[in-house]
Amino acid sequence: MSDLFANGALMMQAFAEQVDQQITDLRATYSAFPRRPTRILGLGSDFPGVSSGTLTTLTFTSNVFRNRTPWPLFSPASSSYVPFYEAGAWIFGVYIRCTVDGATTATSQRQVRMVVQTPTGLAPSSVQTFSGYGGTVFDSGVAGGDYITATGTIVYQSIQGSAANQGMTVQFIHANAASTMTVKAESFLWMHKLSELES
Amino acid sequence: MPGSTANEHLPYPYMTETVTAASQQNLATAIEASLAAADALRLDALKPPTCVVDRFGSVAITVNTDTAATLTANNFTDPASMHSTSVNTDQVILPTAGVYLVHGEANLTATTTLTAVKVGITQNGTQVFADQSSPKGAALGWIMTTDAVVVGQAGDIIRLIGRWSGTGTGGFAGCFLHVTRLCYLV
Repeated sequence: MSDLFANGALMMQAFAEQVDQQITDLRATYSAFPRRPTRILGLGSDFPGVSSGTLTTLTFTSNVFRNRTPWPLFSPASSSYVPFYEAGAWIFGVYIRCTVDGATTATSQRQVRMVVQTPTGLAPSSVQTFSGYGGTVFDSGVAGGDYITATGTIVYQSIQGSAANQGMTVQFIHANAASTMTVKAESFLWMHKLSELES
Repeated sequence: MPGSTANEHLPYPYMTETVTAASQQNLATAIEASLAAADALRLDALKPPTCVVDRFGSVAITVNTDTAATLTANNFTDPASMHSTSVNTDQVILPTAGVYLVHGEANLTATTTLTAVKVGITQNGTQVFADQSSPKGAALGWIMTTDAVVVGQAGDIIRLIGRWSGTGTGGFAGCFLHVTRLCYLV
């Protein structure tokens, strides 16, 4: 009779531990979902003196928000490339405020380009080596300068430890021939992982 | 004195103890409580705070003036505290801290000429991002969108603002604001 009770207790323990593991796994899954890799980088300080027609790569150095530390660096490291944290479907975007440093060329263009590529141009054969996104505005006399927002999405497939992994870089160009322009400090880029790639 | 599991602390009798109806009941109750807690996490993960509000119909804006859109219709608001269609209709209030994706859209019009339009998003009264355009005509109005993210705290107020330059009278012919939490701050 005592063996029967002992077996019953062991069965309950085994059952409880199985249920415990399954609920723990559920909690981990549910907790991870609202913590998907996300990063917001600010320009940090004004970037003045951008000449008309000069494609200028912006370096975002101010960590506004990130929920992974460290966020991986490019290989080779490049401060103007912001890598995606891991494989997945990603949404990303940029906001730029820019002002003229002197005179204004009426209705001249301001353009931001987001480029997803590798520093070396290499990439897995199954992956796009270059994807471009962006937005254009014309100077229109809006108070406070000119404003551009743009967004994009990409399926990113990383290779562990590979220099061929992709990142995002932001470039600014304008056609304000009458003077140089400044990209303002509050400009920022952002990226957020939407989903896994595997089913 | 029963044992318990490592994570959820589900109680079970030791092998030297007698399995009773009470011990089985205790385990079942503990499992139910753990599942309920896990389900709360599931709902929070899969149903993040989201607000989709709009307005169809004209609202005048003084020329060359940033003006918050009054949004009098809800397509979807969960939790309800994020937006009211009758009180402070220009405000979407963040219910929890987080990184929020914000999409704003407006059709800006003028009766005579429309030379510049802007839509922007403010957080607690400060513009955090915007977009602009230079319309070539005023006949159809000019539809503008802007979207980006904000890092917010519970109680922060998000507004959609519009602005136009030109002649005649102008304003919103319709506007739309979508706010949804992308992730926690931690």
